[in-house]
Amino acid sequence: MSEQVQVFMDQLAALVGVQGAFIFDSQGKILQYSTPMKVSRDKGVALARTLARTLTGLSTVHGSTMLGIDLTYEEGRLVLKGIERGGLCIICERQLNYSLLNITLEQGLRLLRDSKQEERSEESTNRVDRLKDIATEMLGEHANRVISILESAGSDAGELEDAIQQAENMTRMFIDKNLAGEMAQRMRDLLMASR
Amino acid sequence: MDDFDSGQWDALFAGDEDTRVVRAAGTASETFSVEEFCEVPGVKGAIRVALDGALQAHSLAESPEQAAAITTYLGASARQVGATMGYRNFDHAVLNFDSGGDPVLVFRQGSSFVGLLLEEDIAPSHIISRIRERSGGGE
Repeated sequence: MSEQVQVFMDQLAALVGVQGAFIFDSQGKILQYSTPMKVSRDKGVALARTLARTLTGLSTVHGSTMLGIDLTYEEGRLVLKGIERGGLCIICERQLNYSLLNITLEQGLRLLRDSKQEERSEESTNRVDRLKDIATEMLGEHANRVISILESAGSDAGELEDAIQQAENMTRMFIDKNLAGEMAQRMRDLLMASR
Repeated sequence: MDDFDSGQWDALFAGDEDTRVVRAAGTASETFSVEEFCEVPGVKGAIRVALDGALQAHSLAESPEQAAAITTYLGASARQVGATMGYRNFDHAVLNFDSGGDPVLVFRQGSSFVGLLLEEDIAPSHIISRIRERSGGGE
């Protein structure tokens, strides 16, 4: 996460009535805390797991990933915003200037979404590089044609799957029919793991 | 809604035996049914589900199963979050969709969760106030 995101998190935590905030991924792993975080990190960890399950469940039922959930208790309030592959949780006191929170949130969510987009683009570059490494490792000097297939593919998973299939066919026909299947399988495993 | 004391909220959102909402502030004999919730301006539909997700009553023309799943999921998650945080008194939860769509207001009613489908531009706190006023527990 970028420094800008940390600044945003700290701005949130500085609002009157906010006790802390954190960003978590879809597995419920906390990626970033605000400073200060007045709620114990143990609670944060348990909360992140529950909230990740909640977001996943509700997204599945409703079909929308961009959800906002506001949980109000007599003792406090939790504001949850779904972001790509995770969420942002803000722990608040019951008495809170909600309008001020919303203004800060609106700016910050834009930043978070941009930051996620940058991460995604970095990830897809890394993914192609790792696929190329597999080709080089298995085919040595004959890997060039597979590498050029991978480089000319797009960056999303579907395009890469097609490229792997092409690479497998090409390897089977022109390079080594025994290695083709194993190489393609390793590439597919990597693609699956990076989703 | 913050000036509403906890006893009144408990009364409003604690259910009686026949799973109808008990009216607040000592008027416990008066209750709200799903149809009565729909009479509150800004409420487009209402659903009541058991804590285990079983659909008990609804006034929705479309997709009651989806609304039941959302209501149950949100209510159950709210309880779990409350337990984690040490919050014992759940008031209500609101689910909004950034992509557009009607917000859903969920609260506990005895051994059920009630889900209200709201008009998009209405503040959930406004609906809660209206329910409170109608139940005779208003300011």
